Amino acid sequence: MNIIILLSLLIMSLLATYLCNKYLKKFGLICLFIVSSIISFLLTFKYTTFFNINYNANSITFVTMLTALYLLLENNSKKEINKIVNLNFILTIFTCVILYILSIYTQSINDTIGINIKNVFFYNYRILIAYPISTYFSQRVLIEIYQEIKKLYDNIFISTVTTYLVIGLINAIMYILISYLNLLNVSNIIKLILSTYMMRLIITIIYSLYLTLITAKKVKK
Amino acid sequence: MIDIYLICIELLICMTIIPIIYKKYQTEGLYIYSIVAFILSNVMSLKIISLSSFELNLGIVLFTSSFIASNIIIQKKGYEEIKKLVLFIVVSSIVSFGCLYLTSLIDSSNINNFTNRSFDNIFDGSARIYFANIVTMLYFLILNGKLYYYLKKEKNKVWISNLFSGIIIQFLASCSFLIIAYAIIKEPIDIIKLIIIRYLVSLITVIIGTIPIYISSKFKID
Repeated sequence: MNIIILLSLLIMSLLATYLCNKYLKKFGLICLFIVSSIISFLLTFKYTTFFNINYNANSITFVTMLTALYLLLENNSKKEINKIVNLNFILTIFTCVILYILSIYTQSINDTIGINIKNVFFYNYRILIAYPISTYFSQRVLIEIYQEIKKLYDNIFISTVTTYLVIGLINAIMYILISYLNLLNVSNIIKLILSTYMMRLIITIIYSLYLTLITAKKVKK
Repeated sequence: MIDIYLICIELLICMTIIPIIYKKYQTEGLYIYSIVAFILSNVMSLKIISLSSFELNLGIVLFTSSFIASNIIIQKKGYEEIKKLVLFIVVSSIVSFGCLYLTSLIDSSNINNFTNRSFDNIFDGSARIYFANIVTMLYFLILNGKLYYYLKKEKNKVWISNLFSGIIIQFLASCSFLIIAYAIIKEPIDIIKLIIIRYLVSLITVIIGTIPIYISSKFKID
């Protein structure tokens, strides 16, 4: 069951990336980037398991967000991309504040979802801080690194995977340390960092192969 | 009482961020704000609070702020842009619901188990409320666009277009959302109470929303 759900999530994300890139061009990619960032923020509160490996549930949407950023970097200047990343940061902060406010409303007597919302967003306030900071920082570093790697190797597969090797590690370390330091023991923290990093790496490789396919078609045309 | 303050804070944040985003990112920024606000409104609408003896689904401020952002877009670019906005909003809401719902079905890890279980419970059985919110947004954003554009052409005054379209559309939107979300589950009298309080909050949002529209209309951009 888990595999089917993961595959359908992956197919949905790949399809969204393809449609946004092909039909909606720049604005579609900006939308994809920000929407996947917000969904990723909402999913980051859950940890799932896959063959006894625990990883963050936002892995697919997080890689979708990075992929949208790679595609935006291909055709736009650094200044424009920095502006888009700043907009994303403003909106993640907005989301963070709204989710916190949502969790402190007093739910009605008959409402059970309100209690669950409080359990997720109120007691995990460190995640509300960790996500915007770690994401913004890793996106800014990504913009710098991706273009440097692109100059060295003009191959989309190598550029995206190599960029992820650095960005993914920075993001996972920052996010998990801010969220769980002193809450989980060190061995669990290291396991979470590595498993989330590796899971996202696998998805990045799939995405990069897919990107190579899309861009190869464009070159042929 | 604290809930009323929180609604006011939410309102203040939304009404401040709209002109800021418009000034920095023009109409593209407003498109994205509307999409994000609607995704968050969908999540918020799952929670119900009590205001004195009335119950209220949250997310109404964000929901109405999407209408305010759309009115600024119409003010600057015309009615045709709204169709594009509705398409983006509806598609991204369906995708976000799909991701959240499917993820809640995946087996949870033992790490942070308490949060994982609560996360799964939030989206379990939430489809009807999501559907109600999306359908309401789909129809009434288009209708609001038509009415706002008509009033703008006739009178060309921001406050007339915003208030009159808001008074009519928000009432219809409140009825539509609550009937789709709670028909058969709740008693008709409870649904009427829910409509009254929801309409009241959205009306206040529309009235205050005239300020960001007015401020944005003064910016010389686009």
